[in-house]
Amino acid sequence: MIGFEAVSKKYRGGRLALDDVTFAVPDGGSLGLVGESGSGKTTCIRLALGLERPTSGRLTFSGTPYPSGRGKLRVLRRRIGFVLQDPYDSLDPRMMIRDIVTEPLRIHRLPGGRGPGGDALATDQLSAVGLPGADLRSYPARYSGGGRQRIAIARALISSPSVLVCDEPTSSLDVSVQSQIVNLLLDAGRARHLSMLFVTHDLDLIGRVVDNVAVMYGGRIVEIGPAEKIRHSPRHHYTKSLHDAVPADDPRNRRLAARAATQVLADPGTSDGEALAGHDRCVFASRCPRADERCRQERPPMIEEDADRSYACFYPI
Amino acid sequence: MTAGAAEQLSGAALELSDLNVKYGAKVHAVRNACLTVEAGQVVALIGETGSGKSSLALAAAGLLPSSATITGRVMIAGQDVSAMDRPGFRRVRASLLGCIAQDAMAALNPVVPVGRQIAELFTQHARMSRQQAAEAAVAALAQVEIRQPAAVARLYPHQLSGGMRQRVMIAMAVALSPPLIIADEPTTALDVSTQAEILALIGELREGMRSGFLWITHDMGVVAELADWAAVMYAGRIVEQAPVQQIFDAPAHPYTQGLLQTRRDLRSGAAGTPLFQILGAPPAPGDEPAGCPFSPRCPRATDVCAESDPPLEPVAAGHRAACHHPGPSGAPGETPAPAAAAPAAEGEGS
Repeated sequence: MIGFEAVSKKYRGGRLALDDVTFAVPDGGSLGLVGESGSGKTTCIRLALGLERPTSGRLTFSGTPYPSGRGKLRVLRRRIGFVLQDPYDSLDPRMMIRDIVTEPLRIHRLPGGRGPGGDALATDQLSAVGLPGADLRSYPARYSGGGRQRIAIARALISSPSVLVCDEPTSSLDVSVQSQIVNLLLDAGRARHLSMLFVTHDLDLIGRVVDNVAVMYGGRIVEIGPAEKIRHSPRHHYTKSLHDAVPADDPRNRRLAARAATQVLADPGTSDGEALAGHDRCVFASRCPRADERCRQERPPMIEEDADRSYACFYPI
Repeated sequence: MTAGAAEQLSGAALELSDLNVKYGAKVHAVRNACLTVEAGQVVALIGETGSGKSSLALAAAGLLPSSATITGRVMIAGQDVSAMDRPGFRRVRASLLGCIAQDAMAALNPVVPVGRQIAELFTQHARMSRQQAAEAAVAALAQVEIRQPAAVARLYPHQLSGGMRQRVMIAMAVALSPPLIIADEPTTALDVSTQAEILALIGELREGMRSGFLWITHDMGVVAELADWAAVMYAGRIVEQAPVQQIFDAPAHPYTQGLLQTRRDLRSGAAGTPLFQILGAPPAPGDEPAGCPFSPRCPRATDVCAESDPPLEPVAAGHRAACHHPGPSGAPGETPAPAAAAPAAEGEGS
């Protein structure tokens, strides 16, 4: 549905935010992007939403390249709904719930955007996200984080998109509300046959909600494959280190406070974004326990292990 | 701290008795909280937005605005700080407690090099000369495993990564070896591998320290890694507290059970299956239901739960819970409820 083909993005200042990224969100399927801050996840989202254009490579939607004209891009955007990380930022506090939810209809000049009919559509959407009977004339301030994220999901779905782009949709929510929002997204995806691009830094979560996972580091995809394989048999040392960094689920299995994690994953120390993309080397080499001279001098190519899974490492696990 | 003060300090790192915090007439942020942090111990204070965990911590640190009404007793290392006036507490605060904030960028002074910010603690509270303090600051940075500490000491906060800034915060919190360290979700905003480094660092630091930690978090994984003791807050009350292994092995309160189940299910559930969820949302502060505040979300709730607020009572040795029906009985762990069943009113009224 959405395809990235050898996409690179260079920002002013010469930093490569994305370096030769290729992935596809299949029709009706889901892809998760996982990685730390500065890995390029958010740049992928911005490109997928058509907010920015790649420096090289191309994006496709249903097999057709993203258009360049503003008008055509707007037509495309109607088919892409998005749910962002912070529902406190992403909802305008001065807009009534009705206007927030029906905004995509106005932008895309769809029925219900103006005049009568909008109220009924908004009510339907709000019921579908677990807010039946919500006061259409209330403001976001009346809602908690979970309530706001439901409103954001109602807005994302009202123009009947075929793709839903989610950027850490639960990371700013309370634990007891996170699962509700994830389940809501999963249900909506299934019921509407949506394709999903789901960004998170939570490896456990992504293993539960998407079919395929792309692990990003320093602007590159270092491993991509079915969620089960990424979870249970990582090949790239970075993927494994992400797993190893997840805290224990029981005090008996303590591991972080007991081992010298600092030895393995030395913090590069400076502000984020100093990743070494663009150089002819493995981006993870400086933090990798297995790295040798070759990793520091040569860029590992994407190796296809099988039809499903690829990784970029000379010394896979 | 001064040598005189050091001799007087004794007893638990922190002892809260019947602490209440109110904002105005309506919002009762902390109700009758009793909690002890022994020297050398890490106590996890678990709770969600609005649970009162931050109010409790700020009250302990004497950092609430004067508009808040605080009753009850706060003892830090045997000193009754709740009996002190504000200027009095301010004079001794740095020698009694250190704070590690969630947002180090906001907590550090952006226009002063980090080394000088640490050195200030030593000149103001340890009577060191500027030269001695500067050296001690570099040593403090080395203690939190910052490589090239002398070079880092000259940098400004914005020149450091998030993980490094958090290390600087930790260096400041432990610099004067205070009896109590209050950490407010210091790893929540960090990447998972940076969080792992910080947890490892704390694990190493506490070996050589007598400080007690009050560690605020909502992440049961962090609790599992770090805590000796855990207290769970909900709607302003401590609803359960016990040694950490007891909390994981035999949680008695349905809310604690739900939090643990949410995490276990997330990690071990099959791909594509619905996530385990606690229904509903926590009540907004000042808008709690009658009776047990968790009862509208509780799978075990009966009539009595809607009528009376259960007190925190022993359920096993060293283990207390505020529940009319405490114990392991079923409820959490049942089949995940469908998302559509989430109550309609979620989020209303906050």
